[in-house]
Amino acid sequence: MPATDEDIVRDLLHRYTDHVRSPASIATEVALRQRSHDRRRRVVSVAAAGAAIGTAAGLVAVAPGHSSPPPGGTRPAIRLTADQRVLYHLSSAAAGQPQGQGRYAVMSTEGDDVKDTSVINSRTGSMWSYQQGSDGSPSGKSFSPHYSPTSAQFAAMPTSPGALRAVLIARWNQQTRPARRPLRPSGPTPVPRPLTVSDNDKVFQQASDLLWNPLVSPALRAALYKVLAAVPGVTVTTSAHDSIGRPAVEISRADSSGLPGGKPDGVSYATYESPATGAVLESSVTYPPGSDIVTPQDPHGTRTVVDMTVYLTVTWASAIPADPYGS
Amino acid sequence: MDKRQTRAFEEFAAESGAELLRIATLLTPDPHAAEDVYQETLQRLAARWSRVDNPKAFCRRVMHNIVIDQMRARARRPRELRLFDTGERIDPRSADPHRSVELWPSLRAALDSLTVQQRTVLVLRYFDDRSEAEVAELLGISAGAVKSTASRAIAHLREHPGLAALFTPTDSLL
Repeated sequence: MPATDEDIVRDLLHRYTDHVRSPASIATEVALRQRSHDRRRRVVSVAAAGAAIGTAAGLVAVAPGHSSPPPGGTRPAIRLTADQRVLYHLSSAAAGQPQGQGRYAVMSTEGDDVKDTSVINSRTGSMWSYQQGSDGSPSGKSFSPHYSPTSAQFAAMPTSPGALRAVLIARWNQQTRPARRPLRPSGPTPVPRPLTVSDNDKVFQQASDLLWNPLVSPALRAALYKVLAAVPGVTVTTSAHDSIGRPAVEISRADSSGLPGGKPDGVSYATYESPATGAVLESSVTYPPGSDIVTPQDPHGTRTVVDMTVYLTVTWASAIPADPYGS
Repeated sequence: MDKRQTRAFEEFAAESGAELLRIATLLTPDPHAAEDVYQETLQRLAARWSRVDNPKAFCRRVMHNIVIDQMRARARRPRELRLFDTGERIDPRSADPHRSVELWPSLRAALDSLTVQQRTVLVLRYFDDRSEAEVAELLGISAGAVKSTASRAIAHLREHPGLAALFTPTDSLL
């Protein structure tokens, strides 16, 4: 029998919770959600998706004489092509934008008919995501520590195109090292073999993965467009619109990574930019029929967009805003 | 998180989940909120599973942070009416499990009437069996503050109508 007040409290607290049992389903659900989250990040961020899932792609057709980067990597051509001029225009537009003020970047997005509001801490890179419920599903929220580089880390990146290109390649190599393990070792997908990924693939994937990030400074964003201008195979469409009808410059590139000796699979990465500000309006990854990621049962048509995000707004705040969806 | 990590994560949850959920139950005002706190804690652990050396310590710290954040947010909203405050005068020292079930509303009401810090200190000291120094480090306060907070919290529980009999000296019941 408890003797002291402390013992009584101790006994009471333990007896009070004797009945509590942890449902195993919670841990299982959390683990599944985390794996899904990791997989999605890989698909969006780098070619790791291709490496992990084992998709095949061959060398993309590039302009004659541009099959390898010129000495020095990113030295822009003396005479700019029309596409390069557009990218340099975007670079100027981005450089003229003000740096966001506030500790938290608040970004609302939409994809797969689901609306998200993401809050990124510029000092830690941690991200809170609030997701609006749809089709009867409840709203949800998640927290991803160190999701993004911090503002300081972005600020430390070089803004000269040549140096930045080298950093992007190194970043790709670093990020994809652990992701080369297959995510689905069994099943209908072929056993993945080491992929050949060109430096130009790496640079485009990394640049398009950074452009959307609101923590990227105007100077770095401007430099990224200049880097893209020197990547062979980049297609620029000035009269495009994003999925919700906003005028946009579409920058896309068919990825050339793939199995050694394999033919191009046509996996295409695209970003849509605001011609006025250089801000990213939308990003997407598209797989054509025949790609390993598109199963024979896939109900989609000739091309399958496996990931699309529409960037609606970016604002800045000094405190974490409340969940706009009330989850 | 690959399959191997997933398995290790689920094994950890199976082994420590009940204890963590019990702590959450003591820290939060209702069982549903406790389960939310537990789930959010596991979510945060899963997100950095490969980088966490001591998952149980990580979960305890995260859990307390979540609860404190929630309490602060709740404090900014209008206060909700308490649904029960029975004030039953039973002998709660009985080992009869049915008796302890009867105690729940009283203990719940008593815990709810504590400040967040008092409640957290009580749970850490007397459920989690942490030393005053450990609690002080976890909460970022002095050991003296831990001691005085625990003392005030216990005094508060002693005065609660539903629990007063629990702390009554044995000879007075005879």
